[in-house]
Amino acid sequence: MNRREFIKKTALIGASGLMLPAARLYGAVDGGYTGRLLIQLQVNGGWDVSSYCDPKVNQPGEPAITHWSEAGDIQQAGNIPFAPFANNAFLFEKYHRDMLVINGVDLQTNSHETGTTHNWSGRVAEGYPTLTAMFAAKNAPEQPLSYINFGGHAQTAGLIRHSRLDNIDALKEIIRPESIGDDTLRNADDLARIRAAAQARLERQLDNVYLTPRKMNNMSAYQQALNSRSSLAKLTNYLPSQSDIIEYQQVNMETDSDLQRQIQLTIAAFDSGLASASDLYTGGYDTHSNHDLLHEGLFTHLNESIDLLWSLAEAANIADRLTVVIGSEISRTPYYNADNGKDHWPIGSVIVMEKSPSWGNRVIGSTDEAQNAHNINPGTMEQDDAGGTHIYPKHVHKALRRHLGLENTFVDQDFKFLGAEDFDFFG
Amino acid sequence: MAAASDSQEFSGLSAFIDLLGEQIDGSGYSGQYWEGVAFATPIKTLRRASILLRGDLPTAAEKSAITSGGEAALRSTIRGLMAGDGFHEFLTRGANDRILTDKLFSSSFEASDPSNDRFPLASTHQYETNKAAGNSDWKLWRRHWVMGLARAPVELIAYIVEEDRNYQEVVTADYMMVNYITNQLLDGGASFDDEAPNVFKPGQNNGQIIHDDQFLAERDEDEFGSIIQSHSPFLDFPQAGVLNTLAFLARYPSTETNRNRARARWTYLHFLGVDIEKSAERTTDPDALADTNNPTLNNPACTSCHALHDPVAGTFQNYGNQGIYRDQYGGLDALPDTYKHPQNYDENADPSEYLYGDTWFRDMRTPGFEGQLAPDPSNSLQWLGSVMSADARFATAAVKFWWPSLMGAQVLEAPASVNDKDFSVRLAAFEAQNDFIESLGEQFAAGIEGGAPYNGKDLITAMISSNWFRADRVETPDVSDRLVAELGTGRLLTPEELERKSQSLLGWKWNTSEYPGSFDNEYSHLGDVYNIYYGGIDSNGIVDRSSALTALMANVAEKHALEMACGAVMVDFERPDGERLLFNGISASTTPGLEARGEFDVEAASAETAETYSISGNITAGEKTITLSFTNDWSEEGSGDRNLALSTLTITDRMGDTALFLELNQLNSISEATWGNCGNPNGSRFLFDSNCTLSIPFSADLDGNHTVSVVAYGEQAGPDAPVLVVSVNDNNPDLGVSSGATAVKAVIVDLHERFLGQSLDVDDPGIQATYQLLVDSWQARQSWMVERGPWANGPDEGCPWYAVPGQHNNAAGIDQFDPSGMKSSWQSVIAYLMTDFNYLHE
Repeated sequence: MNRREFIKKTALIGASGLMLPAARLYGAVDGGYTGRLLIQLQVNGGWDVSSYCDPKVNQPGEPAITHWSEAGDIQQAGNIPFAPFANNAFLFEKYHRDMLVINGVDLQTNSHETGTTHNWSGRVAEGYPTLTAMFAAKNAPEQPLSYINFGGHAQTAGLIRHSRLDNIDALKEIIRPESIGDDTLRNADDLARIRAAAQARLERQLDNVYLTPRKMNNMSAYQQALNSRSSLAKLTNYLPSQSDIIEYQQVNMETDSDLQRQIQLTIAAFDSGLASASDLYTGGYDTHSNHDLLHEGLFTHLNESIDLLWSLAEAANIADRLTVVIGSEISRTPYYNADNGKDHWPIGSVIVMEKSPSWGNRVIGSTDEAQNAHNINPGTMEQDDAGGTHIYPKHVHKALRRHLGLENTFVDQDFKFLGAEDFDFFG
Repeated sequence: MAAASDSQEFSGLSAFIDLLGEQIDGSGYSGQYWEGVAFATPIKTLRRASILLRGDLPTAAEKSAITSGGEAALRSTIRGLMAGDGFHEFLTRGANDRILTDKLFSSSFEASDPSNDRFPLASTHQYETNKAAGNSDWKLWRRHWVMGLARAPVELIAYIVEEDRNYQEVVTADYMMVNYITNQLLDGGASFDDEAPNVFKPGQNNGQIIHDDQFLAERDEDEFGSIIQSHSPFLDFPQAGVLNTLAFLARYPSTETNRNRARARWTYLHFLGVDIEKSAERTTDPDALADTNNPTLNNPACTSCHALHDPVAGTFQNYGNQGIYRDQYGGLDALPDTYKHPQNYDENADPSEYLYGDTWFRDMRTPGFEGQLAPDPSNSLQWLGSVMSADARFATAAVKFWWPSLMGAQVLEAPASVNDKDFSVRLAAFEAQNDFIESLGEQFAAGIEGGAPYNGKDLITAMISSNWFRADRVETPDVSDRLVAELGTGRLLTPEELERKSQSLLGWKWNTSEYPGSFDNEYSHLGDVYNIYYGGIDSNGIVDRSSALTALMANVAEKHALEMACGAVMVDFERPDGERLLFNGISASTTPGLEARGEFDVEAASAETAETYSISGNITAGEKTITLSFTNDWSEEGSGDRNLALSTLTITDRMGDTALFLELNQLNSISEATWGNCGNPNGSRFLFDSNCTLSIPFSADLDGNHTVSVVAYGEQAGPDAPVLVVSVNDNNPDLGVSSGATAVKAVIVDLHERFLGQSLDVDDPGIQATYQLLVDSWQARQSWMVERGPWANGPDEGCPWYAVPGQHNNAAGIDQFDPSGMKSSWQSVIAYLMTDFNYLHE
């Protein structure tokens, strides 16, 4: 299939009524992206929701599920209960109106890898894209940093490619590749001439009807990259200076984190209009020993980072456009092991945040005192042992896709959740 | 696994069952998968193999072997690539892409800490060097010690392949790879000539101990380290290839509850090709997941996997959470104290089943492998290595292990759901690939094409010779509809591969500096600064390489091209013709319009003794430009100032008639004549007082041989006579018919072949496009060179000399003059080629 037939094929998809962005492959950038923004904050290792947004106190005669409950009780900010652990009070009291907490999400596994795939794609089996990949492909495929990934699950299922951001000094150098100090490596005319010749050559190569799929895909990717990169230069105006960059922070005795630097770079990219979606990644939560000590530092850092995220978003005047999905691939057992750690548990939570949403300050879904998921009725969204279902990641993803305008679009058509009940989380 | 009847999983399973036993339309391509696919020629395959395996282009001899021997010579020629530093890098990089032990370079590697006193020689060395320095700061040796331990697994794999050893040694080797410092501090038995941390040799771990009642150490009060006073004899360490290298164990640490299952999981995956996580449907039964009654032993929902998994986990019984052999006090086991003596931690805890002398948990399956029990608990891992390497899956796992580094893609998995898009396409590809891998695995175990069993080089050769590596194009467009993208030519080079390729073509790595303390003593743009930006990995959070270019990656590629192009061209033209990397057969004065040229040392020293300097050549009728250049201006205070004086210019045509005669002091009367701010009509001559080019229009009425004669003399100064360059240039280089154009196009053809692997005729549109770029760039340069002068780089144009080794601040005195404008124009061409799809992909 050559390029023309490739276009025809995707145009047919468009003709069937599905939305197809006009410049999916060859769009020239005519301004920054100003629509909704999406962040997935991947908390890696298995966070302990019983010490966070699904707080549990110890039950008489049962193994201790939390140590903080030996000296304190569940707190509540607005309608959202939280554990008085680490600096959770700070986060929930400040942001409860901006939060939807979905408890009792059944990840159906105790495996990191399976849980990661399930939680971030909505399906246990591999092959489905992340929400962020779908979002970027739908909303801003022509932007050069449309989808940023800092690590963790980044399956794109071929919808789009993700970019990685790293050292900021290096980033400034490659934003304008022709620059060298105050000079340029070629004069402007010559550079334009080289680029035009190179793109013309690539166009001719793409017209070859005998290309293998690999060459077609890779050439198309290169063309799209060349078409979109001209606007990268303006990222310079949004990047923090090296002295303002938050480098690695020691979170606890085992973990250091660059989450806040990831946040800085993401907000800068969003602010510039060059990006639409970002996967943030933070780890260290697999606390099979010294659980409380390690998790305290982790949650403290997480909460501070979420606060930083919203603070920077406000300062950049993009907070109104931002959706943040926070979760982890598994959770932790409702009891401690012999090393004062907690092992893997399949029932977790998801937190969705926006600025003052109508669906904020709510908890949907629940677990019993031993952190077993309740059946929830999709219609009433109340506990319904007889007529309800566990909330699975597919329900969360399906609802998010609808909420974010991805449902029944070209990004969604090949990745349906067949038969999945509708939970109107954002109604 | 239970699936609700309205679930996606159930509908997919139901559909799949319906398909069993039926011919799946469009997917039964076994044996026919490659119908309609054309494959890379032997010469192209050789090129790709050379770039990937060795990091450079094939030699003339290697190409000649293929040209004359064709397919029959391909295998032996490819095998001949497998030597040297480049191949070593391929092997260690490919191995690390799988086992990710390089993570330990930059993250915690607790087990390596000499302060743990598990390696007394290291502990003592630390104490002594810290005491001598008066501080406990990390010393270079410490950094090299960590590198030595961290790299041991990948160096072992590389060594086994490079030395044609039996690949089974990957899990059975009774030796380990040591660098100079691990050799010293483990009493490894090897010998080294210097202290390069990245040179490894086979050795032994003779430097490790257990902590028992003979172990006595005190911590120095100045915090310089431990003073080991006594210990039991060094361990006779039961090395088992990669499996119990400290790095492999530390990369996949264990916990009291994990109990080596992670290590077992990765061992199964890397060395048997079995992903335990996917080997059986993982239970999603909530009761099973919440079962606390030792479910891995008792619950059928769990035992389907754990019955296989846990015995192998048990074979790691002698290694603690961080990988230290029998790390518990007494040195009898690596069992956690919370298991052995739970009541020390919880007075209400049930008594443990542990008995003194146990090395494994009694509530776990007995250490073993798929029905076999490990006979000797003291070296169960060596036993595991031997039985595993004899398993048929070990050979197929080796194919899968090397697949990504050669093919640029992961081994295909069977599509998960019949409802998945492209299900039939992916199923067909999976079946075809799986058949190939299984077959090649069998051959690997028996000896490929009569070679030794389990020879790594033969395996890699066979993979390179395969359709999966060589698929190059489709014979009809419809064929591509049924192929997957993860095959054939056109795969993106990794940052490391691109760096090596450019080094091979241009002579150096992009912006590399010495970096003492680093593993390879090198800090480079593609290897370090922009590695992640260009799709590399950090072996930690980022473990998957990018397979296609993004905008940021395209910028890195362009910066790489632009920064290297200037130095590459300027340095290359300093080399003698015939010894250049890029521009043999031309000079820096060979322009697209050049029809004739001559260069003269003007010995005459006065107007009275002026001499005539002539060139002759065949030119076509039409508009020309005669250029007269002074190229070696010189002056020194007190010694003199060298200048060049021109009196007359005469052109005679093929008939011997004078076609043009000029008194060069009258040039102001010729409006189209141009010269820079470096000379002027002066008295009875035109005087060049600095390097300069004088351009004079000439209209040739006739084709044929013309003679251009200049009467000139020099104002002599310095050691050399002034140099005069006379040339005739056609004003329509686009036509490409001049002798200069012919020579330039020949170079372009060669550059396309070397940079892009394309063998094109000189009339090919691709060659013509490159030529046109050169002409356009050159012509644009002419106009501003009139004002700017004959410098190779224009206003505000930088040439990063520092990037070329030995050229910092132009230390070697590279000639930066470019009177023809061609050096600069070639830079445009080189940058163009280095940003081409076929340069960045192979």
